Amino acid sequence: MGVDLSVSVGTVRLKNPLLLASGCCGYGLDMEPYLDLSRLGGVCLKGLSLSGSEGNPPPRIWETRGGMINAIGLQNIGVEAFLREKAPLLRKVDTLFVANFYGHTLEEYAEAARLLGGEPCLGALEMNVSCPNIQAGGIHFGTDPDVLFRVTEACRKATSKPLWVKLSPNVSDPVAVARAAEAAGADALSCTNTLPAMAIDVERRTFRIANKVGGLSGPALKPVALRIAFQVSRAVKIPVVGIGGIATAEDALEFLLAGASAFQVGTALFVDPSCPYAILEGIEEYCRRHGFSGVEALRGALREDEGGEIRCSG
Amino acid sequence: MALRRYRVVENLVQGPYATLTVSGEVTPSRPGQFYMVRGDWGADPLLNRPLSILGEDAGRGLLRFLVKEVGEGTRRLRALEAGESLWALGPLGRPFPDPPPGKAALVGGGVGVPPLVYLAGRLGALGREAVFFQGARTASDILALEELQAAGVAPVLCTEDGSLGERGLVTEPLARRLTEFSCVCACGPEGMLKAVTALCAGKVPSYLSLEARMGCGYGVCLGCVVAVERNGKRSFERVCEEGPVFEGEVVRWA
Repeated sequence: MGVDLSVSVGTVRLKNPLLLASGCCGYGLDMEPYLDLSRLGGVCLKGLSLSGSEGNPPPRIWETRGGMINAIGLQNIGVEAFLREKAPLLRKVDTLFVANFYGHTLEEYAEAARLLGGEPCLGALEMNVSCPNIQAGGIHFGTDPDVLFRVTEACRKATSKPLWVKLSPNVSDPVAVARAAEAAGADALSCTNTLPAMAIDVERRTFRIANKVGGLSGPALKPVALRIAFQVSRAVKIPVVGIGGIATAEDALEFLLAGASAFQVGTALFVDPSCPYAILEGIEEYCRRHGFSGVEALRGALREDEGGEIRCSG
Repeated sequence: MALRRYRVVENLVQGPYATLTVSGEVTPSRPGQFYMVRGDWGADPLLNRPLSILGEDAGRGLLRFLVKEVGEGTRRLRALEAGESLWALGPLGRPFPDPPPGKAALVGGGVGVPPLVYLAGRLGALGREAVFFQGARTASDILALEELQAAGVAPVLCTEDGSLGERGLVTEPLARRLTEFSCVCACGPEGMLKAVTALCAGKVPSYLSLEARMGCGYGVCLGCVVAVERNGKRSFERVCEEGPVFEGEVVRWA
């Protein structure tokens, strides 16, 4: 008996629950030597801003135990160049493309959402809210529920495309920010982004990364991201897309069982760009072994789970 | 292209260096290209290590790398034994262009030696003349002399302690003989590359193969960038994708 891998994320139908994570697959086509994109659930493209960004000076990355820290500085070609140069090439590929985007002000966010919202090759937009808010003294958009509500609402009004909000893990109460995004009209929540982190070269007494602080990703992040995906999926009605350190089918299954409707693979692609195939095969094999006719039946299918609020304690 | 499994055929250790020969499916490459490499060690160390190709025999499915132990990943690669597995993704990156007519100078030291040895072989096969200037701290760090001899490339050796060849830096004999060459191809420590670029500026074209800490090796993570200037415009380019070989005059050192 075949296993139905297809899933829904709100109104969007995906061939399977696996998406490539933003910042780990360029503008999609960079992956084509390694992956048939049409075999994936979707592809979240490199974060775009209105004016683009040249990014941070090197060194930009540092490897840590079970993970890596990056401070790329959201290097990107800008929304207009993307729509002109990249989007036409994506229209020929049969998968869900999700444009990740960010701004430095509320207006920039809304304008980016409006412009990207007019591009037919994009099935959804994903807001990156883990970047500094210039109008609010550099505090990240994703850390304050009121600010997140306003920026999500502004983007919601600017586009009719499905709007996903990629939550920051760097908050004391992920449920509060998740509910703010939901109340402002988000269609789904990506849980989560990288966690702010640092490494120091003790011999030279310098920072390992020029930007001093970067985002931690990879297997080391997974337990934190999983906990947040679980908490959030319990607290909101909109779908959750799990992300954080997923490298194997087992990792992905944890997120699905915790309540995610789909998941994204990021840093694992750096190690093996073809790893999505093995992850999908592993999920299919698991469903067969456990008698699930489809992946959607896995969502939140945890035993010994009575629901309700989660208490976090050490 | 995919991350493929290779079997270690031979591993020759020389001090902190190891010359690894592995067998498996080999896609033909060009000198200057590299592979992203890891052992069978699970998720830690997490990332693959970029290794330049020292040589290959695509027909027989053989690849050769030179590894220097600088951290945990390279320590484990250096310790690999015949029969063990090695995973590699490649060949990646933009190779050295075939040099313009005339004699080529190849300038390198340490882990900068392998792509130049590979290039020396290609130039030999093309019937082109080349001189290999190799610099090292001391005699035991001089690498791949047999390979260079096999390629028919004249070696000029320099050691900082004078234990082999000329005492001093490799850029000194290069400077004396610079007018003999139609191009200079270099790979090695940043100080050496800066000196080579300065020496060649306005006189002879130089091509540098750069080293960088890499996340993915195939262009998507944007972790390995270097500052360059083209047509008066500065930007960051990926060492793995636009490089690792860059024209010397475009690189803007930090």
